Formats: sequence, structure tokens, C-alpha cells
Amino acid sequence: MLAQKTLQAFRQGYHQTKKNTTDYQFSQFRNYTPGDDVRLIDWKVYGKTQKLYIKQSIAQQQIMVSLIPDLSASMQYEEAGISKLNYSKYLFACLANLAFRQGDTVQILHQKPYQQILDALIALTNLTAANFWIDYEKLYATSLMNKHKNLLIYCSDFYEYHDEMMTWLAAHTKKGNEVIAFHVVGHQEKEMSFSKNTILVDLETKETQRLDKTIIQEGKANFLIQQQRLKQQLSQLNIHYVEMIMNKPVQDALIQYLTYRNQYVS
Amino acid sequence: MKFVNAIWLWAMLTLLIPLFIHLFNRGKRKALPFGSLLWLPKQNKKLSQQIQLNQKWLWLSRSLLFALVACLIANPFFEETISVNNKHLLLIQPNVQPSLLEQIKDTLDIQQWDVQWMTYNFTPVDFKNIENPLTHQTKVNDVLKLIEEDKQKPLSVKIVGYFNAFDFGEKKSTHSFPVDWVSLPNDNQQDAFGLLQTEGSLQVLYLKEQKHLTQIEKSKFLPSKDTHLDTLILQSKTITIVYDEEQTELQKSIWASLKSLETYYDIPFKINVLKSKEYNEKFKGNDLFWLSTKLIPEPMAMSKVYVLNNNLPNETFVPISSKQIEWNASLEPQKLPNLLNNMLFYKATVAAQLTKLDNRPIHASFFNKQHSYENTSKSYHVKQQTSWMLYCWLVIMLFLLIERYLNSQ
Repeated sequence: MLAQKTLQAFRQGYHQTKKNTTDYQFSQFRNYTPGDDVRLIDWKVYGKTQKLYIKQSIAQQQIMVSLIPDLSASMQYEEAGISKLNYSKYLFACLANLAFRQGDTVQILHQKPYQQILDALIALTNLTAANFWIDYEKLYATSLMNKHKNLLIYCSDFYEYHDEMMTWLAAHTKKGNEVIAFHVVGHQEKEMSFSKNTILVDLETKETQRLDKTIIQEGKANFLIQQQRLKQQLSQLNIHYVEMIMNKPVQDALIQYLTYRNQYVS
Repeated sequence: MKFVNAIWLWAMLTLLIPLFIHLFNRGKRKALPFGSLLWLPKQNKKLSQQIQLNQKWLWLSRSLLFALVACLIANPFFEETISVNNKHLLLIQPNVQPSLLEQIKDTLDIQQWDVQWMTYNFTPVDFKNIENPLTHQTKVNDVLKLIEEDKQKPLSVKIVGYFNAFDFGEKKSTHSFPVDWVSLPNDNQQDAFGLLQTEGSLQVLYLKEQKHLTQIEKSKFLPSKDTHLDTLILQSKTITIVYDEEQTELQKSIWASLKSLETYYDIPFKINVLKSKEYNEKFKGNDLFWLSTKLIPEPMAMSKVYVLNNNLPNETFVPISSKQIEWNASLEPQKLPNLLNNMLFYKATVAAQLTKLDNRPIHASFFNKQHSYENTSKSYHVKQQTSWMLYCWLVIMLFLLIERYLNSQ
């Protein structure tokens, strides 16, 4: 429901058609040869020319939208009661909604494309985050098995130990998939606005770090450096980067993405 | 080291404030689940230890700052800083015959005192073999200066010699120990003050290093119109004021001044106010302010008497035969309130530690204000206190600098 409400703002001037049609674009006529389907004969042309022609057209290619969230434990990080994973789910729900409305098929992780949006939303709800990213490597690899070209939307905090995410994303771009990377960033995480008395516990490794003035200052600077490095790496792979700060509404990220998409398609 | 306002030392309990803050914050440290520590800098153990050490120094510095401020407000002073030697010193001018030494000691009752002859730099001299001992004599003040510079200062000094008015001229003593002058009778010259009457082999004149006479012992002394009371020494806490009807106002004034002293220094006086006819033996031993024009009766023997009327003929008011009278002098009666007020004033200048002098004589000088307390070790306390406070402030400034430095780390 939240996703529906969020998308209302993006539906200005959008009209639903009453019948389900497949978009066909005229391409050429060719002579009828025995064995061709009689239904394909263009009878109007026959009326004018007294010759049998078959109207050929190119069907508009459907896009498979793959929504893939990062399921590593670091996505459990919460700010103001919302975890990174839930924030990603919210974004994916919006995108799934949009895709269904456009008639695109939606796939979550490696599962089969969903026919109904409700199924997709239920599948999103059941996702949980735990362990390391590398533990899901096989699961993520299955998304590469898809024969068709996909629009891959990946949502993560991009905490990787051995460039495993970059390698996986690179494989997708190599295959010809269009990839959009949403970077979920906590506001406190970015600004390091923690008190000195805080001890941070790594959700993946369970390591702890006691904060002091120096670490807070250096951590803040380090984050910006790492974010910049990430942007460069993604840019080299032709992957569009969208930053999602958790204290801001999802719409902001959606606008960024749709603006980019509009420019990209045109 | 003692403190004038020791109650302020309780302020040192504020030292516990930073400690409590430290312990309280330590307990409140909370763990927060965080995405990943990958992008955080690794904790530099050395740097971390350095920071912790800095924090401890900072805590110590702040604590000491609190302690120092509390200590400073408590007004510390050193009491025994100068009494190192723990001995009294008898200085004798070289022109005094060595044979008189024992006699002088007997008379002054100071058998155990150290004796030094005032030759140049205290060089030992065999006076029996010297034709003219005066050539070896040095100036008294130079000798006192040498003693003052010595680390081991004596508790007190008595100087014995043949002094005259020139010896005391404009000298101002600034010694940290009391100096008494003992003048021997000199046949060749009139006594500088015209007060000394030779009798027997030895007459001793006590002067409290002041220009004017303050006390005479073991002599028969007739007060005259020229004798002025310029120093007041109260030796008992019971004071009797004797007056006539016409001196009621003066009596009230004196009473009020004494009351001021009592209130200001918390020294309880018992003040008896009597008319002359009421005076009797039961007031014997009191400090006596005799305002009356009538004769002082015999029962006042052993009293310290201040005769406050100089308009009477000498022979009319003091029993000459009495050897028990320790001290008396005359004064224009109107000056006494001033004198008492002076006492108040000088006391105020030597700060609060002198308030507990209830068992010591209280001195005040009417003419020679600067000398009132400078000669005693008490004034030295005040000087010490001043420098001590200066050091405290310097240390506080140092702490503030340290704090600033540590905070900038």
C-alpha cells in the first residue's frame, strides 16, 4: 500500500488502456507462401491488389526487471527503527509496482517471474538478512543464467571484503544487462554522528570498535573516500549509481532513478 | 602549613565530581549494532593508549586545579618557617666588658642563650688582648642583616650595649624575629631619654626596637609630664576603667573601643567600669585604666596601670615606694580611644590568624605604626602567605595551559 501511495506522484498523465494488447510495430509485407497462417493474410491489401500478402511486424521486447537486494547481515543496520533491508524492500515494492504497470515482468533474486504483483510483494516481505554476502554467492550467480537481457536493480550497502560484488556486477554488465545500483546509506553512518561513549558492533563479523574523537573524524572522512571510490568503480562498469540516505524519503531515490532512466531511454 | 579558613578545605570534595563523571560515563557506554567496520579506520593502539593517558593527565590536572583553588581559598600559611634554630641569641657590643657577661645573663635571666659578640662578620676575637675593642665594632643593623640572611634564624635576639638616641634614629626594622635592645648605663653621657636612673651595678633598659620608651624593669621610675603612653600592652583579659563623674564621656569612649576589639577579634574581655570610690582590692591584677584625678590606692599593686591624666603633679598620684608597679605612664586621656582604634587597625592588617592571640599581650603603638608587628615572626607569616598565594596562582595558570595543551591533542 505504501508503494502504491508513493507511486501516485509518478502517475500524472498516465492512462490505463481497457484491453490487453500486445504492442506491434509494422515492419514489412511479404508474399504468402503455402503453409503460412491464413489469419496473417492482410485482406485489405488483397482487396486493393488482388494479391496475397502477409503483414509482418516486430513485437516490442518485454523487459525482465530483476530486483536483487543485498541479504548480508550488514543490511540489518537500523536507523530510526528502519533497517537497510526494509528500506530496500520499500524501494523494490515501488519499482515492482511500476514495472507491472508497464507490463514488464518482475523477478526477485533468481525466482521465476511473478505474474501478479501481490506474489512479488509477498516474496519481498519474506526476505531476511543474515551472514556474509559471499554465503549468497551461488544464489546471486543464478541471476546470470537468465537467457534474456535483464534490467538488474541491485540494492546494497556495498560492504565487500574481496570485490565479490563488483565481480558479480561486472559479469552482469558483460552479459549486456543494464544494471542500476542503489546504495543504502544511513545518515548517522555517513556523518558518524555517534557519541564518544559508543561501541560499534559489526553485524557481520561481530567485531567491536570503541569510538573516540579521532576515529569519528577519520571514519567520516573515510566514508566519503570509499563512497567516491565505489562511484568510480561502478562508473567504469557502466552502472548507474543512486545514493539512498535512510533519513530521506524513497521518492528522492526514485526521482533520481527515473530521471536517469528517462534520459537513458530517449 | 595551617589554614586560616580551614572549612574551605571541604571544597576539595569537588575532586570527586570528575571521578564520578568518569565512572558514571564508563558504566553508560553502550554497544550499537553497526553495518560494518570495514570503512572505519583501524584503532591505533598506541594512539588510543596515548589518548587514554592524556585523558588521565587531564583528569589529574583538573582535579589538582580544584584542590588548588580550594586550598587557596582556605588561605594557607606557614607558621614555623623561620624558627629553625630554636634558640635565642644574645648579641653583645664589643665595648661591653666581658666580665659583665654573666651579670647581664643573670639579670636578664637568659643563662641558656647563645652569645655572640658583634664583631665584623662575627669573627671570634679575644677581647682581653685588644687595646681598643671599639675598632672591631660593627654596625648593629649590619649584624642583624647577616643574621636575617642566615638560614638558621634565631627565635629572638637581644642586643646588649651602650646605646644612645642615635642608635635608634630613623631605623626601621624589617626582621623576621623579635629584637630587644638592652642598654647598659653609661656614666659618660646622659641617657638619651632622660629616663634612666642608675642604681647599683647594672641598670637595664628594655626597648622594643622603637624610638620611645616602652617598658622599664627593676628601676624606680617616676612618671612625669614628659612621659607619654605611646604603646599599649594589654596583658589580662580583665580590664578595669576607673573614672570620675566628669569623665563619663571619655569612659564610654574607651569602653566602646575595647568592645570593638572584643567583637572584631573574638577576644572576650571582662570590662569593669567603676567610679574611683568603688575601686578596691578585688580588682587587683586587672589592666587598669585610671581616669580619675584621685590618688591611686595601694591595692592596685601588680596591676598594669595606665594613668590617663597628665595634668597632675607627679608626686600626687603614684606611690613612689611601690616596687610592684610594673608599668605606668600618663597620656592625654583623649588619645586613648585613638590608641585603641590603632590596635584595631594593625590587627586588621596582619590578617585573621592573629585573632587567636587571646593568651598573648596585645600591642599597639601610638606613634610608630609601621613597627607594631613587623618585628615579630607573625608578620613573617603574612609575608609568607602572600608569596604562597602568588605561587598558587602561577600553578593554576600552569594547569590551565596544560589543560589547553592536552585538549588540543
